[in-house]
Amino acid sequence: MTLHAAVKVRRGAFLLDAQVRVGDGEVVAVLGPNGAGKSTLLAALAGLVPLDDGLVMLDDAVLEDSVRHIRVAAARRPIGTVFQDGRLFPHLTALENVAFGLRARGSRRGEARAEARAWLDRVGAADVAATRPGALSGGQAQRVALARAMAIKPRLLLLDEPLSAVDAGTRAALRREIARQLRDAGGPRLLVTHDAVDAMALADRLTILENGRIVQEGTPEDVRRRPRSRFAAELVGVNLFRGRARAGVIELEGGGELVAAEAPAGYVFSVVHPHAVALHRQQPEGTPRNAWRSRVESVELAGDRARVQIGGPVPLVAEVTVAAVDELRLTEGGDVWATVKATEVSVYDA
Amino acid sequence: MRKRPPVVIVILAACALLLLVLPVIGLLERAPWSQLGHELVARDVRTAVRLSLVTSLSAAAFALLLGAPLAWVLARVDFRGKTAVRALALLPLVLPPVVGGVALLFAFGRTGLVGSWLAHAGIVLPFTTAGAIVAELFVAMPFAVITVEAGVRALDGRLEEAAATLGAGPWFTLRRVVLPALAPSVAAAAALCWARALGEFGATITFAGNLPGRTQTLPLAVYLELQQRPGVAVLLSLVLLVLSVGVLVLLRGRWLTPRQR
Repeated sequence: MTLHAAVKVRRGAFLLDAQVRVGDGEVVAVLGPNGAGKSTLLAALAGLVPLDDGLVMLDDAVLEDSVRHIRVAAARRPIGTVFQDGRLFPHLTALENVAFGLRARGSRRGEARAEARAWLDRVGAADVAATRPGALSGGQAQRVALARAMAIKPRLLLLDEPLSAVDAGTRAALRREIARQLRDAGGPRLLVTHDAVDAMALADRLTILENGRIVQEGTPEDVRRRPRSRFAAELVGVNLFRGRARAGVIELEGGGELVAAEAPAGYVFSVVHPHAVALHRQQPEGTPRNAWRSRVESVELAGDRARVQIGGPVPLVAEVTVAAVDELRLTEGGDVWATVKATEVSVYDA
Repeated sequence: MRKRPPVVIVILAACALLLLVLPVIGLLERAPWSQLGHELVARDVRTAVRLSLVTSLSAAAFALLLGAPLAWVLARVDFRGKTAVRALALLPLVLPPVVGGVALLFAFGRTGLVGSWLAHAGIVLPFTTAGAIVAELFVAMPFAVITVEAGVRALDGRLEEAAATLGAGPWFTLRRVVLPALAPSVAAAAALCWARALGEFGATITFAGNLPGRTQTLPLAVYLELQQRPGVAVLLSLVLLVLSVGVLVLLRGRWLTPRQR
C-alpha cells in the first residue's frame, strides 16, 4: 500500500501545492510552521477539502483526480484520521466513540462494542471505556481518538498534530504509545507536526512544508545535517546561511562574509553549529578566519548552558556555558566579539 | 464594584415589574379556590383542557417536523433570496394573528387557493380540530425556525467531518452526531412552540371558529366564559398560567439565567 498525492488547494491568496509519497510501512512527518498548510494537506487527503487540482491515489485506487473529475467522498475513503483536538463526540462514551466507525460501516452493536473494547485495550485506555470525552484528560482523549481511527482498519492513517493538545507531563508517554501503534499499524502513515522532537521520534522521513510548498524532504539525519530553510535550521537548532561561494569565501545573502575550509563554488547553504561560535570581550588574538564585532541581542538560559543571540553583520546564535556568560559579562545590548573557525562551517549546494 | 443605578431607572424598572406582576396577583386573588377541585372536573372545563392539549401538542410536533428542516436549510444552504425566505418564515411573529387566520381562510378555506383542491380530496380544515391545529402551527412555527436555526449555526462542523472520516454517511451522521448535539435547541424550540400554540387565539377563532369540543381551545373558552361564568374563566386562566410557568421552568437554563461572556 503506497500513497501518491499531488495536492493543489487554493484558499484566497494562499496556495498549497505539495506532492507527497508515502511508501508501505513508512511513517512520514510533515513539519512546518503555523499556517504552512499542513492541516489543509491532511484534510485534502482525507477528502474533507476538495482539490483545486491534483490527484490522490492509494496503490492503484484513485481517490481523487481533478482531471478525470473523480472524487471519492470522505466517508468512502479507506483512511483513518486522528485530529489535533481529538474531535471525540461529546455525547458518546469513549467506547461508543471507538465503536462509531464500525457501526457506521454496518457492524452490529454487540460486535462493534467488543471490537472497540479491544482497541481501547490496545492503546491503554480500557479503564476509561465508560467515560465521556468531557471527563478525559488530553492524553486519554488522544488515545481514544487513535483507537477510533484505527478501529476502522484504514489503509492509510493520518495524524494531525496528535501531541499538541497534551500537557508536557504526559507527552512523552503518549509519544511512545503513538510510536508503538504507528509501528504496528503498517501501511503508509502520515503525521503532521510542528515539533521537531515528535517528528524525529516518530517518522522515518521528514517533509518540510513552508508557505504551502515543500522545501525539503529527507531522513531526520539529512535534515539535521543539511537543513534547507530557516525554519528547518531553527528546528534542529543550528545557524543557517545562504550565499554564493567563491574560493572558500561565501558572500551571504543578508550581507557579510563567511570563510569555510571547503566550499563548492556557486550558491550554497552553510551551517554553523551554536557550539562552534566562540565569544570574546576583546578582539581575539591570532587569526580566526571568521571574526565579527557584534551586539548581544538576547541571552536565554537553559540549565547550565546559555543561548546567546547576537546581531551585527552576521546574526548568529551561540551556545556557551552559564559561567562564560558571567565571565564575559554578556548583557543585552552589550558589545561582544564572535569567532567561528573555518573548519566549523559546513557547506553544501543550495 | 457594583454601582448604584440612577433613581429614575429603578423607578421605571419597578413600574415594569408591577405591570407584569399585578395581573397575575389579580388572577390569583379572584380564583375560586374553594370550588377549585369541583370546577376542574366539570365536563366543559375538561373538554377545553383536553382539546387544547391535543391541538397545541400536535401543532408543536408539526412545527418541529417542518420548521427544523427549514431552519437547517436557512443555516446551511446558500441560495438566492434567502433573506426573503427567512423574512417569510418569521412573518407570523409580527403579523396580527387575526390577519393570519384570514389568510389561512383564503388559502385553505373551502373555496381557497389550496382548500378547493383539499375539499375535492375530502379534506376540510376550516372549523375543524385539524383547522385549529393548522392555525396554531402557523403562529408557532417561526419559534421552531429561529431556535433551531441558531442551534444549527452553533453546531461544531468539525464533528461532522470526524464522522465522515469514520465512514458515516449523511443520514448516520444526522442521527448519531447532529441530532444529539441539537437536542437542547430542539427541546427549547418545542417548549416555545407549545407555549405559543397553547395561547393562540386570533388565528384559531378566525380560521377554525369557536365550536366547543372541536375548536374551542382554552383561550377561546376563557374569552367566552368571561361574559357568562367569570369563575370558570378565572379557573381556565389559572390552568393556562400553570402551564406557562411550566414552560418557563423547562426553559430555565436558556432564559432565566443570563448568558455571561
